[in-house]
Order: sequence, then structure tokens, then C-alpha cells
Amino acid sequence: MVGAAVAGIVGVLTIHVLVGLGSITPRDARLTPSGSIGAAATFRSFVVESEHDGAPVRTVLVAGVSGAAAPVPPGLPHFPAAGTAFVSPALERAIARDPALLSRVPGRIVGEIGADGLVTPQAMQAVAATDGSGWAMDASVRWGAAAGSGVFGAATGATRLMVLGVVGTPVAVLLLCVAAVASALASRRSAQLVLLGASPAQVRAFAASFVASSTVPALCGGALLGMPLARIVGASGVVGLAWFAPSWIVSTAAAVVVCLVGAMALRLAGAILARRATGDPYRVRGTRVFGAGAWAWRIGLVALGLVGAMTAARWVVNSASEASTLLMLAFLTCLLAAIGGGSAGLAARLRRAADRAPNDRPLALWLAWRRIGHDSGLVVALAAVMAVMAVVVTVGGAVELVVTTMNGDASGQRWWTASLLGADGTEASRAAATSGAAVLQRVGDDGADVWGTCPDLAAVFGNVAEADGAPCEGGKDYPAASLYVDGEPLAAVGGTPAVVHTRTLDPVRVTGDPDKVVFYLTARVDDPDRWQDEILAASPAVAFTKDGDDQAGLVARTVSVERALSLIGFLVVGVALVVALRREGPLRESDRRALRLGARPGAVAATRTVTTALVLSSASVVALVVGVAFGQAYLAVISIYLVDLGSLGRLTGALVLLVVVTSIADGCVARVELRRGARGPHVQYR
Amino acid sequence: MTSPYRVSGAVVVFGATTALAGADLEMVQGESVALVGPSGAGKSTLLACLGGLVRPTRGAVVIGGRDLSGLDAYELADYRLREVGSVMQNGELLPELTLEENVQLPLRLAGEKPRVARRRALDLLAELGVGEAAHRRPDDVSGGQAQRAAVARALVHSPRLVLADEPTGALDSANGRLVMQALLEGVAGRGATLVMVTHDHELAAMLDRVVEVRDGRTTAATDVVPADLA
Repeated sequence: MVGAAVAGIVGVLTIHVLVGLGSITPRDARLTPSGSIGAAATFRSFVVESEHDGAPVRTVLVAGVSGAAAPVPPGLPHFPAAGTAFVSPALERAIARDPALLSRVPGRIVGEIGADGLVTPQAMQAVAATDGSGWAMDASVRWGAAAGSGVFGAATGATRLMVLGVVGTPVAVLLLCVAAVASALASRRSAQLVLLGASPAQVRAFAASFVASSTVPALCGGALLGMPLARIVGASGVVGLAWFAPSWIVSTAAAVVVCLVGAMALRLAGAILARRATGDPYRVRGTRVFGAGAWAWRIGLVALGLVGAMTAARWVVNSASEASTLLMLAFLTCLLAAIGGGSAGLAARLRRAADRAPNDRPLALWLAWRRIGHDSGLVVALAAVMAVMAVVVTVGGAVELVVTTMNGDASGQRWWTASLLGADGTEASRAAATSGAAVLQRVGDDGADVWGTCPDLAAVFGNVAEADGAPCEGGKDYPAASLYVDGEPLAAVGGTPAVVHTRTLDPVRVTGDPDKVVFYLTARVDDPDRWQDEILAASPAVAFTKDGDDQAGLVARTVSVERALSLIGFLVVGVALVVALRREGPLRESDRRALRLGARPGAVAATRTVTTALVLSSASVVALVVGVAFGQAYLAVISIYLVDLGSLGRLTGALVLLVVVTSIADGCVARVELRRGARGPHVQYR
Repeated sequence: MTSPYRVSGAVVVFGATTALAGADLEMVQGESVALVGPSGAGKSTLLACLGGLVRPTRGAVVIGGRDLSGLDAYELADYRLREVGSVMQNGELLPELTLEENVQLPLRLAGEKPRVARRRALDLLAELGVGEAAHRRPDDVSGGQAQRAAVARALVHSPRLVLADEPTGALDSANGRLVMQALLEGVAGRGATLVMVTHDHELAAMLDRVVEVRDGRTTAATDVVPADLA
């Protein structure tokens, strides 16, 4: 019941996440100003995209056009007057925490942006009105573009896929476990029906109905509970992702889908699992649940061996070739085989070890081994779920490793460029001076200038040298096309060969009319938030770009969030599964019998704790091996030959935490539950 | 003189169902008593009261001068472990343990050394004729063997009170006789008191006294004697 309810809640939550994330891109587009060729501008706009603490901040600068009726920005009561600004609730809270963020909002804040004007409930957005003078603003006609800037929806597709993997797979496994437990409970009755002469079809129908009737109500209850929960979670952003919930009709449809699909899956699983009873009803009495043989272990080992060999082969030859479809199929096949074979094989191994365990062990350990030996269903279920989660964590870690490697040096600093659109020489000099820019570029109709020391120029442009190969010298003014990078004249943004001043910035020399020149600041940044604040305080109309992938940071952040989510999911699903199988598993009857015999509740609880610890520890080993093997294999598939020690550490930590927390929690729950049962008037006997 | 085992005015209510409606029972040490009566009369509930598994809603169950309703969960567990042995209709053996392990379990729970517990379990199983099946699990042996192992488990720690709830109910007559014989000999050999629920008049006649339970009440002063059942 508990497992089905958890599956219902998480299933509905997953659909809401997927639908909610899907609404980000259209909202982003709807909130973007757009123009039309030939149409008269109704307002002027410029979108400033910056970041704060890794999250995007979008400030839309707007200015009215005299004589034109400017359309009201979505979520605002009216078109803002020059010098005023509206901010989103999330940005308002962030400003309250860190007033330096006020630099992102030129003008006096006069109100909040309503839900219609937000990309997500937690988006940091501002709409600020100016008089439009001096800045390079675009002529706009309306609100609503074919596509938004994408910063809020960066990696949305990848996120949705990741959510499906992180949440959807464990839900499927959980449903299977629920069906297996319910089916085990139905097996005796199925066998009795077979003995009465029921046909296999009738037995399958009975088992399917039994499984459905004992689990679907809880599944549907969970789905119903998931509807309001998804709204709260989506609006608060507590799981690292925020989204606007769909309408109640869509929510209801999601719950119905979860109930229908879940019920069908449970019925199907129940019918399939009933085959054991129809095959040989006399065996049911002595059959152990999930009694896989040693062959399963071999399948798991072979799959791991193949993946290891593939990884080693690509590593040795340092292959840079893209993985073929065949290789990817082999990778996925081995993954499934390793998870399935490893889980079932572990159960077989543990069963053998349990059968051999002498009975002169301490009481709790002795009973725990016997329980594992008798019913290894818990081992299979937990090992499978934990292996899946481990793979998600390590593959997520691999992606993050790739992104981090692409985007930042060893010290964690990154190169950023700020395009000061509309700043004059004075503003540019001030921004360059206060933000510690390494290189300043001035690009205008009359040519281009670049300021920077030789090492900084080399860091930004590459290997800088004179035409004859002589190294760049500091303190000189090189005429255009006299310094070269890789055989080409050093060119500023836009490709114009630049006059190069190999010295630190000299504000006196930096001049320029904002209508005719654009300044670009490039710096090695170790505190992006502060750096952007300083730039924006000097010149509000700025476009920031990072060296490499513009959105790599956001992707990295998204992946980090998802990995954190998967680690949390790891713990939650692990605990839920243990609780579910404990509450409904066949060993619960053993607890009751031991209590009737005179066992103290504490002794029974200790047995449960030890059982859980043994099962989780062994399942953790399988999860760790499978997770690390496939994380490394994934890196090799995408031609990255690094050892992801970070994922190894985090995964190990999470597994240790899971074993300790769940074992203790299971024992505590059992102690409370058993003591309550022991005190009740008739619970033990009825 | 006060009887060591006394149930007085026991009322047990399960929700809307009154399982016992003022049952009384007194026994002396070493006595064997059969509880008979129609299904649903309250026989098993009375047995459970004696075993400390059910607390009467009203009334008292006094064992050796102690009122069980005054004991907490741990004291009740100790009472069951040290003073009571139980044989239920389906054996109630733990399916994950072998017969020998099931039999040694009460001793292990009471803190006996594993080697001693094992020895005593094996000896008793051999005594009851199931020594050859000692290392098999309950699901892997016949119903008669499993039930004799259940009898062994009920006797292995030499309890003062043995409770049996239709111990032969699921067995054929031959196996039933074997189990009954083992139970009676074991109880007599240990000087224990036996209370057995049964529908079988022949089995009831083998005990010292028969008490009828009907509509949640025991027959009052005139307990049914075995001859009345014949």
C-alpha cells in the first residue's frame, strides 16, 4: 500500500515536472519584445541577461516612443514610466538579501511583476523603463517573439530526460516491486485455484485482480495527493526546479493517466508473476520469492566485463571517434543486463551465504541471515533500484565533469566578456577599472583598438606574436595587423584588425561615442556575481558571454541540481522501498510469530535492523560497482578519458548514508510499531 | 488455596464483536483441560488470554499470583517466553528457520548458549521422532512432522503452562495421534499444565477435565466431564 501510494505521488509529480518544464520555452518567448520589418516601433527595448549565484537574471530595458501607444508588458499593470522598474518576487527577495543586486535593475522599483509576466515562479526578472537615450536599444512593436532568449529554458530538454530517468525509472521499479509483493501474497490462493481446476487464464485473471485491488486504491490515493503537492513543489522550487503548474484539468488528467497506466502495469505484472502458481501449485508452499539461480550472477558479471573491456579499449587507443549506434545499443543492453543480473545474482549469492551461515551467531544476525536466505526479494528490489539510481548519479556526474572541464580553468575562474552596448569611453573606462578587466576592446567605424598586457592578450586571443615570430612585448602600441595570432592578424570582435596597446588600461586614451563604437571587456572572473554588478553599475546595457559555451554554466547548474535531486531521490526511494517491503512483505508474519513466542519487541526490531543493514550493504556494493562502471563507460563513449572521482566519492557517501540511516530508521519504526502492537488488546493475535 | 491459573469474569471485545462475555476458569499445576464448544464461542480467545496475547477488556487473568493485565509489553514477552509453550493449528513455525532452529529459538531468545540450545533441540526432536527432518524447513516437511516440531518448540524450555489450539486439526488421524501422544507425554513429563482447544471429543476425553465454552462464557460449576461428550 505504502509503495503504491509513493509511486502514485511520484508519478503525478513527474508528469507535472515534465509539463511544467515544457511551459518555460513558450512563456520565455511570450515575454520577449519583438519587432516587425516595416512596422513602426511602439517602444524600444534591450534585454540584459546576467547571472546571480548561477541562476539567470533577466532585465528588460524598455523606453517609450513618443506618439506611439506602447503595449503593456505581460504581468505589469501599465507600461512603466521612465526611471521606474518592476521586479519579480524572486528578484525582490534576492535584492533584500543582497542589495548589490540593485545594479541589475536601473531605476526605482515601484512594483512586482505578476505571474503572467514570469517565466517560472522563481525566475529573477525585471522590467525597467529608461528614457532610451544613449543606449543601443531595439525597435519593438509587441511582446511575444517566435523564440525567447532561452536562458531560463536552457537544457530544458535534457532536464526533462533526466527527470524521466531520475524519477520515472525508480517509479517503474517500485511498481514492479509492489506488484511482486502483492503477487507473492496472492500465490497461495492462485495455487488453490489451480488445484480446484481453474485454467491458467482464470488464475492469471485472479492474480491480476488481486494485485490491482490491493494496490490500485493506494496508487490512486497517492496520485490525488500528488496533484496539490506538485503545485506546492513547483511554485516553491524546493527541488531545485520551479514551474507553473498546469490547469486542474491537466492535473486531473495526469492523475488519471498515472492511475490507469499504473493499474494496467500492476495487473500485467500480477498476471505474469502468477505463472509460478499455474506451473506447479505444489511448489508454491516452499518456493522462495525471487529465487534466481547463479546464472543471473554470471549474466551480471559478463555485462560488467563487456562494459569494462569497451571502456578500456577506447581508453587505451584514446579514441576520439563518436560512438556508433551499435556501440550505444550494446552499452544500454549491458546496462540492463548488469542491473538485472547483478541484482538477481546478488540475491542468489546471499541466499547461498545465508544457508551456510552457522546458527551460533548472535541472535539478531542469525535470524537476519535466515530471513535473507528465505526471501531475497528485498535484496533484488533494492539492488535494482539502487543500481539504477547509482547509474543516474554517475552519468549525471560525468556530464557535469564534461561541462566543468569545458568551461573554466583549474582554479575555477572563468573568462567572461561584457559587451557594453551604448557605453561611452568614460563609462567603459570606469567599468574596466572597477571590474578589473584584463582586456578592453573598442570597435567602431574607424577601426578597432585592444588594450591588455601580453599574457592577458595571449589568454584571450591565443599565442600572440609579431609577424616575424618575435614575442609580444609589453608597453608598446602595435599598429593594426602587426601582431598575429596563429598566422592571422590579431582582430577585435567582428574581425577588424586592431591597434594593440600592450599595457594596462589607460582611461585617458579610451574614448568613443556610444553611437559609433562598442566596447568589450574581457576578464578572468572569480566572482561572477560581483563582477556583473560592477559592470552593470557602470553601464546598464550589457550583453554578457562566457568563454566557450554561453549556457554551459546554466547547464552545469542544472546538472548539479539534478544530481542533487537524484541523491535525494536515492535516499527517499531507498527508505520508501524498505518501508514498503517491510510493511507488506511476507517476513512481517515472522515478526508476529516471534512475538507470540515471547521475543521482546527490541529483539525483533534488532533483527529487522540487521536484516536491512545486511541487505542494503550488499545491494550498495552492486550499485556502486554498476554505477561507477557505467559512469566511466559513459565518459569513454563520449571520448572523455578522466576518472570521475567526484561521483565516486559522492555515491559512496550517499550509499553509506543510505545504509546507516535506513537501517536505524527501520529498526526504530519497527520498535515503535511492535511496542504499540504488544500493548494493544488484540493486535498480536488477530 | 488459590489456583495458580485463574481467569475470572474475562470479557474481550473486538470492535463490535464480543469474543468473551465473562469467562471463568481455574486450573491447578499439572492439570490438563480441554476447551470445547462451537466455532466462534470464544475458546481461542480464552487461550490467548492465558497466553498474554490478548488483554481482557474487563476481568482478570491471574497466573501464579500475577495479573497479566498489569504487565507491560516486555513483562508479557518474558512471561510467554519462560512460562508458556504454544502449539497452534498450523504450527506457527518460522518458515525461514529449520525445524531444529525453530525448536531452539525459545532457548536462544531466553539467552541460552547456541550450542546448548542446539543440543536440546536436536534431542527433543529425536525424542519426538522427527530427528531426521531436523535440518529441513517447515515448508519442506509433512504437516505431521511440522506439528511435532511445534510441540517440541512448545516444550523445549520446560514451560509451566502449555497452550494448544487444535494442534491436530490439520492432520489425519494417525498423525494426529502421534502429535497428541507427544504433547501429552511431554507435558506430563514436565509437570506442566495443559490447556487445549479442540473439536475432537476423543482428544478431549484424553485430558483430565473438559470445559465447554459457549457464547463467550465457560460452563460454570459443573464442568463437562469427558463422559458427557461421548
